[in-house]
Amino acid sequence: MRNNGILFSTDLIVAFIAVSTIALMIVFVYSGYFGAVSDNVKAFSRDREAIFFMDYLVKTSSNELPAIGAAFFDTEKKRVVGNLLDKEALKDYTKEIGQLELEHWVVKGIFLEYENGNKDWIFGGREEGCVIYERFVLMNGAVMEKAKIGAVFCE
Amino acid sequence: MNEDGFHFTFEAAITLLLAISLVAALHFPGPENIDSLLIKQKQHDLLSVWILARNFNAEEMAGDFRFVFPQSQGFIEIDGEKVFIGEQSGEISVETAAFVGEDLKLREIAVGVYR
Repeated sequence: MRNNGILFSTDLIVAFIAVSTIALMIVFVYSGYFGAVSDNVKAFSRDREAIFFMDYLVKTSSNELPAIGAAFFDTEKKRVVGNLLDKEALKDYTKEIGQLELEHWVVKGIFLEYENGNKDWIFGGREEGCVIYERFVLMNGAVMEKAKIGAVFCE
Repeated sequence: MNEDGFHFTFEAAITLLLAISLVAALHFPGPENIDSLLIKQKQHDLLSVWILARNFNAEEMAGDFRFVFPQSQGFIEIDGEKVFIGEQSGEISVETAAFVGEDLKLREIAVGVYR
């Protein structure tokens, strides 16, 4: 006698359900995982841009736009002195700036804050919902002053 | 004899265990932050400014530390002598800098910040 039909196996059903669950989980989890990674990369890129903007500001010298490089250029030694800021150049050439547009941020203000609590805005001012990054520097002028230079980053 | 119920083979049990362990082991990546880089940059700032200013007054340096890290504790070390600022506990980040003093001897300063 020939017996045609479907053979039912509990093991096969369990394996099918388990493999289907694993496959679905992999799809859901990795879509979520890559979404989270993508969000992290975006947040990291934003933070990195702000941090390195501040690093350039205190370590490099730009004659044309001191708001992106305000370090003092020592003409005798022919080199830029990091963390020593050219106060006059920073004030004279940047007071007309309204804002600086970066890839992820808009810089809406740069200020100097002294240890006695005085705050001196180079341009712009405090904005709601924005982030401030600060660095510690020495201001080169008639009197050397220690100060924090900060920038207001808005999205 | 009537035997109702499920019979699992060893392979089926292994498959189930694998599925459960895979689900249990899943985790999402937490948000990355670069706070440690910010702290290190500010520590370098302190060391650079102190060396540029050539003024190694411990009290003034402690004031600078509090100005830059108002919420943090730490220490300053000048030629092996430590000045402690606040409670000393937690994970610490230490940065050092060496320079040639007016006596032409190599000197070392360090700044530590508890996170």
